Amino acid sequence: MRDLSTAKWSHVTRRIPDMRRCRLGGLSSPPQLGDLVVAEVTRVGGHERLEDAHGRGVRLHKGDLVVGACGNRYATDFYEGYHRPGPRAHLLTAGGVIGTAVSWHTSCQAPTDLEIVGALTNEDNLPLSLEHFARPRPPSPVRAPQAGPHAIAVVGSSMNSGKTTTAAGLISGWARAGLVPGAAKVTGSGSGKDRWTYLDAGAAHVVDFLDFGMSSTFGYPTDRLRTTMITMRDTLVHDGANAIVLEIADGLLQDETRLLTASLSEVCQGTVLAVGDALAAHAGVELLRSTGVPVVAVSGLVTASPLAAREAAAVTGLPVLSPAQLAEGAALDLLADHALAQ
Amino acid sequence: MRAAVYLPDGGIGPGRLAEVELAAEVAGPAELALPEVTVRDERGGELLHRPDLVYEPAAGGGPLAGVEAERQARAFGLANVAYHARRALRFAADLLGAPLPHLVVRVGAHSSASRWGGGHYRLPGDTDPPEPYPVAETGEVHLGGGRAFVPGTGTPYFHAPAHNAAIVYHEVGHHICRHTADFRANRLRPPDDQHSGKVALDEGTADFLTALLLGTPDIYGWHRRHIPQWDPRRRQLDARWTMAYLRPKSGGHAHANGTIWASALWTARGRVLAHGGDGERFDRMLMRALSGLGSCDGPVEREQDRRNRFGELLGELLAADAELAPVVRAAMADHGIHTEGSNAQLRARMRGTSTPAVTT
Repeated sequence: MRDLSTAKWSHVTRRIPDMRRCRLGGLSSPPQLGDLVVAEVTRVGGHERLEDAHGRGVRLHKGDLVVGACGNRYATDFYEGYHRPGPRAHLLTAGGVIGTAVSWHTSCQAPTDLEIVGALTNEDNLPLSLEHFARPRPPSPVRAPQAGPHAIAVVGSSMNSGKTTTAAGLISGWARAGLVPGAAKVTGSGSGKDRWTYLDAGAAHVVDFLDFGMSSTFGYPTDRLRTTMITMRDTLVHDGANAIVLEIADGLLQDETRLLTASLSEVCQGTVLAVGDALAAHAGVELLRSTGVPVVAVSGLVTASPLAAREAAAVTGLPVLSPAQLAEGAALDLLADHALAQ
Repeated sequence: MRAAVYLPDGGIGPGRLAEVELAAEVAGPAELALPEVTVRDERGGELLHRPDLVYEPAAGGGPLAGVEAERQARAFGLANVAYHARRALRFAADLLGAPLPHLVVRVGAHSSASRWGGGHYRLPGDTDPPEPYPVAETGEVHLGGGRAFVPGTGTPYFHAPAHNAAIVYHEVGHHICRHTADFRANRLRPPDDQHSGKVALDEGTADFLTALLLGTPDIYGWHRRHIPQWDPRRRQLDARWTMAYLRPKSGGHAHANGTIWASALWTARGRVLAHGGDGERFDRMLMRALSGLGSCDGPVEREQDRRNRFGELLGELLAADAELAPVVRAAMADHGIHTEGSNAQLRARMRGTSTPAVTT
């Protein structure tokens, strides 16, 4: 039996408080979503590096042991992958989500191949799951019905439409305005990239789905995701944040994103839509409005082009704000509009 | 007319909330007119609806406040600006023996997607970015609508510059400088082509006047409380700031360099008081010096260069009151300021000494 002293611990293991107390155990039953497993690299493919719990990109070599968590991935410009119990798997994200890739973008290499060695267990040889390390739900907040926290959601027309950069712009603007920003990555696949971006922008408190027991949200029941989204918001308030951004991954046409956005009006005061072009702005705003979601601004990649930004503003009738403009003060006004409208 | 304003209390905060008598007329729904100054909120709205000017500060109002709280905060800001601007202008006029030209203050100026939490003093002429207003020939103060909450106060207070007497005093200080020392030699330029840029002596004199009127050298202690007192960005007048810290020419920072001049003035005034002198006499000495510096004619470039020199203004200061001159000269020397030498030479000289700071 191999020990774990040389294993490479991925980002999804960041909530394990003491890795020295973990053991490599056998797989007595098929692992479930979120279960922690140990795998050996049998071929280095698309992911040549593994992001560790501290954010460092650790180079992978054939024969390395990696500790990750079972999960799915939905990434239109990367891998489509699913948790399929069995001896062979792929590294679906640099952050340590392990599953089987079934399709990938033409610009991507074939995924890094893994062989599942066993389950990560505790000292009593019981298999461990991310669920064991999830944050407890905070006490229910006591507040008047109209006095919800200042919260803005960021959704996008697609992957890579500029959602995280938009969220960072909001965070930076709030931090500069003397507020205490909190950020939540509501959905996505386990990776530290967005978390670091939030922190770098000035977020005082950050949570993501890993904090609530999920390596990746693709494939989880929508009810759980909706409940978790509210818990994330309340957790950030409990931690001390007074201005919160909730980023929902992928595009509006992704199933979970679409279902989650339908309940945004109950969770936050407004939504910023990140898009790459004016047509996406038009379609996205229409889609959101049809479900009763208040859209307060358009942002994202479209703002890189002044001409495209003007098109988007004309077709939506909304302010089109670049991340830099959000950081310079517009982020505060987005909260203001809704405070005054209440 | 009764008005609610913040009165300086020497502490770290906006001051003590009090009611004062203010000889102001409501000249519009968002405009106050006084003999010395007109104060207008450029964002408009029916702000001044009461028979008096007793409005609530409403924690600065701001974008997260309700509509009524924001209206109260803006109305309070108008009265607060009017009170402090008038106080500063009268203070200078009493010392000069003549009133300064009328001042216009625009509150909530330059509102755009980028919020603005500061202020500036403008004269007619090209600026970057251009002014959206036709600027009065005698000068205008523009105050932003605020962009952030005061850090570290517990209860959130939106930092509206109109609520901060320090910012008002500093900007009015530039008006006083324009019509006395006139550091940019604007009197010698066409009225519609004035230079609104500030040099270190302008910033420093404005900071000193601010300290004088607030009664504390920690002039920006309220909204910059999160910046350590030893950090030059705090702009606290302190004995440590000598010519050794000057960053001249294009790499210079007028505000930080100005803190050296302001600190030296603060030290000198303190020494005058310690020697049993009269603070008001020192203040009058300074006003005479400023007027003296700006009284010469000559080519604009040459005058501008001359008026930029710390030593030149010190020379005027010493000439303005022969009796106080020895004490003031010694205090200024401790900050590395002498009548002979360019600013860069004074810096080099101070950096060559072994005295790191000044004994106050």
